[in-house]
Order: sequence, then C-alpha cells, then structure tokens
Amino acid sequence: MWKVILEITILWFIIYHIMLFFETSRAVNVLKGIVIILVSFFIIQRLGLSRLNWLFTKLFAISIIALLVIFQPEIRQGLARLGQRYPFKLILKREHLESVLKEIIVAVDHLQKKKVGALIAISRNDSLKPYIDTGIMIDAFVSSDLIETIFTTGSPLHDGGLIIQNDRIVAGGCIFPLTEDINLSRIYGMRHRAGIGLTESTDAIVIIVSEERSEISLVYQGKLFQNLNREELLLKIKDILKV
Amino acid sequence: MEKRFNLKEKVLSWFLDHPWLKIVSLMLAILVWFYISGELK
Repeated sequence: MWKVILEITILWFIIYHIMLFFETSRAVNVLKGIVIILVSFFIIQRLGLSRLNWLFTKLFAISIIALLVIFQPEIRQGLARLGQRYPFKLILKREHLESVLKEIIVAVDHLQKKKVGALIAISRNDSLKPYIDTGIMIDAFVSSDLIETIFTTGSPLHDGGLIIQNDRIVAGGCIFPLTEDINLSRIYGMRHRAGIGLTESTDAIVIIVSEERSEISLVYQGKLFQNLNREELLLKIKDILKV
Repeated sequence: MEKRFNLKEKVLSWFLDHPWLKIVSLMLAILVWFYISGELK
C-alpha cells in the first residue's frame, strides 16, 4: 500500500511541476488541449471503444514528435532551470530582508526621479551564475548609494544588469537573455526585453527603471507590471517573496 | 531571498498556492498510475 501512495505522490510531484512550468509559458493552452485528449483516450480505453482506441493509438505515435517540436523552447528552458537550481539556499531573517528591500526601493526611487535607467535582478531559488559570469564581480552589501553609483550614466557598469543575491550585490554589467516573445510591443527597448527574458528562464524578480519614460516596472515569470510607485513595488516584491 | 522558515505558514501557503493545479495534477497522477498498472499486467 505504501508503495502505491509513494508512486502516486512522485507522479503527482512531477506532473504538478511540469504543469506549473507550462502555466507560465505561452504553451499553456496547447497543454490544456493535450490533457483533454489524454483524459479522453483513457476514458475510451476503459469503455472498450475499440475503433476510437485504434485511432488514438495511431495518432499518439505521430503526436510525440509534434509535441517535441511545439514545446522545444519550453523543454529547453525547463532543462536549463533544472540544472541551475541551488541545492541549498541562504535564508535571511525578516528584519534583514526588510532592510535590504528598503535599500533597493530607495535606490530605484532615486534613479527614477533622475531618469536614469536601471536593470536589477533579485536572485531566488534558481542560480544566476551563468549571468553573473558575464558581468563584473562586486560582492558588496546592498546599499542604495552603491546601486545608484553603479547605474550612474558613464559608469562602466551602468550598461547591463545588476544581480542581487540575499543581502549582497553580486555582480554588475551582466548580460541577461532577451525575451523570445515576438508579440511584445516595440515601445519596450532592450532593457525591458532583457529583464523579461531573464524571468522567462529563471524565477528571479527583475526591477526595471526606464530612462525614457521615467517608469518603474517589475517583471516576474515573464509578466511585466508597469508604472509602479515605490509602495506598489515594495508590496509586489513582498507578495512574490511571500513575506 | 526568503524569510525565516515557518512550518505552519509554509504548509498553509502550499495549499493556497495554485490549488486547482494541485487537484488536477493529482487526478492526472492517479489516472496515469492506473494506466501504467493496466499496461504492466
């Protein structure tokens, strides 16, 4: 009996995380269609509808290849994320987390007022090491003054993304992957595309300050939340971090 | 970044996070288990 429960639990864990991953991608509607077909196939088998069963069985052979083609970008992203997970993660005390977030919000607020562009990624469970390696190591405690200095126009690190991990600014001038969403409006420049792209590949939270529109945006799991004030930004980050 | 570990809140947030997805994936897991069991016999 315990083996049955264990097997079902493991299957549940795998199926849940696969569905969770696809839920945030563009393939979610395709996946829903596939689930409906699978359930229909199971019912047809149980009811003993032999002709329909034959038809579905023949179609399945072809559909495996079709699925690989349809989901190729998502499969690539999923495998990349699986390989990037931290085995352990540092845990910040609540008070410490509050002070770190406060420094980030103050910096972002000042940058917005000065119309200085910024791209800041807050690392969570998925490792950002591939992107850290593209930048310049800093490894300093998070402070609003340092963040503002990094993004000051003319600074060697102002062009690129900043990566924050726990309570430390890990690296600056990092290159983030661009989003593959071809439907994204052309009003969004490379900074937004890089911010969105990073959140499509990882579970990082990205804050973007647009120098053209003097706007603060937050991106998470490929979703862009625009024109936030500092209070809204803080609430949104806390909501995502569940604090 | 994450706050200090709190078991009760962790369990509660797990149940409240994507509840329908959890229910559907559990049903699918049970269906898949029965299907594979049938194939193995």
